Amino acid sequence: MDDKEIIDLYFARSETAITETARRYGPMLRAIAYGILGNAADSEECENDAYLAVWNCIPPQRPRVLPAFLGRIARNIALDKYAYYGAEKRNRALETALDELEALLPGGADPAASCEQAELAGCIDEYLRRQSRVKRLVFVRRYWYCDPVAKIAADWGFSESKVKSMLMRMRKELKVFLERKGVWL
Amino acid sequence: MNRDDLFRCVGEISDELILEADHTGKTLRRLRRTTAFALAAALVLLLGVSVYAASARLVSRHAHSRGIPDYFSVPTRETLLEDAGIGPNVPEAFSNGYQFKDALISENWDADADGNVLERYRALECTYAQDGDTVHLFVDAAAAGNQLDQVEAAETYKGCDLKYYSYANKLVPGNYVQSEQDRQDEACGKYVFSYGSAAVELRQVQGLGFEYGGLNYTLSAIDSGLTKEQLIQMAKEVIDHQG
Repeated sequence: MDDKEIIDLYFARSETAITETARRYGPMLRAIAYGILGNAADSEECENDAYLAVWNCIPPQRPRVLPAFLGRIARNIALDKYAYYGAEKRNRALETALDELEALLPGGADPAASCEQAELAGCIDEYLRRQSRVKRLVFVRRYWYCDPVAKIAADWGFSESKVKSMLMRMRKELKVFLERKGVWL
Repeated sequence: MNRDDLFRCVGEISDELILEADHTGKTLRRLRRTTAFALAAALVLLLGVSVYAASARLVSRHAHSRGIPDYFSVPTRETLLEDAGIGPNVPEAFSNGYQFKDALISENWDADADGNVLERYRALECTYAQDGDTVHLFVDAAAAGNQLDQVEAAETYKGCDLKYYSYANKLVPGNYVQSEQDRQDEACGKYVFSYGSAAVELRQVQGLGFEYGGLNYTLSAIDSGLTKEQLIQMAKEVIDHQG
């Protein structure tokens, strides 16, 4: 069953839609949630919450790219859940990724200069599209899919230090790119 | 804005970028293996031994891509060398108004009559658009060259032969079984069959092939109002752009 047929099932309010979604995209959704939460039980709960959210979104929404739509929902649900984690339950792998991104932020936040989320996402999108495919994939795997540096390095056959330096250079370039665009975080 | 908000913003990048990075492990490993193969093939050529031995005759050419653009702005030569192992200078636009739209990298392989793979290589496919009409520029470094059938010499430019072709293309699904009429149409050159489409479609294809600077280029227009002379001019601009 392809994505269009699955979406049609949602529109027909057939519960088979959820079964088919789970069969096709369940592992991906669990992996995204696990990358953020670092906890198998919570990731499974997050996956189930995502199915409910998708059921409530479609219709009226008709996703253009179903896996990206599902992944984004799972990612946001996992982040909401993570926000309630106490210090003892925090996922060190995610904290490292968040700390890396923090380098993009200035020392003192200026609320008057802050930009809209959509505007910033658009600028990040534009920056990534200007990069080579290799760099773009590494960045998205790290900061969207929350892959650990070690996994990215293993996928590429790169050393971890190479992946780290690639990401560090991209963060610096992105910061300059955003400033040139007049986007101040 | 704090780091958590920023992380959420990254989550809002476009669907294409998210999808592109899905299944990354497999994609990246495949890319690296192909690079290694290309280097080996280049070494064979340097030694003066063609990968096309006398007994191995190329009879089919295959291409596979995910159909999702890899580039939404003109990729640099350095980027293409890194991603595809070939380094053409890709034009931003042509003087007749066609503008770069996007580009993707495909995995290609040539095979002999028994299905044995003779060469694997990556190719770049750039799409240029103007008023809804599109032209595709294909670039690869296949040792067998462009392998175009029924071409006519159009012009020679900067020592490079520009070869024009035009044919009616019948696209059919991968499991399509030719009828007797299909076989006759193919034999007499009425249609060139291409396999792998979702449905049977007919289209008029024209283009120009040329080899320049060690790379094979093909400009292809489908159901387009472009003339042969306009395609020749576009080919000249591609050659001029290589510096």
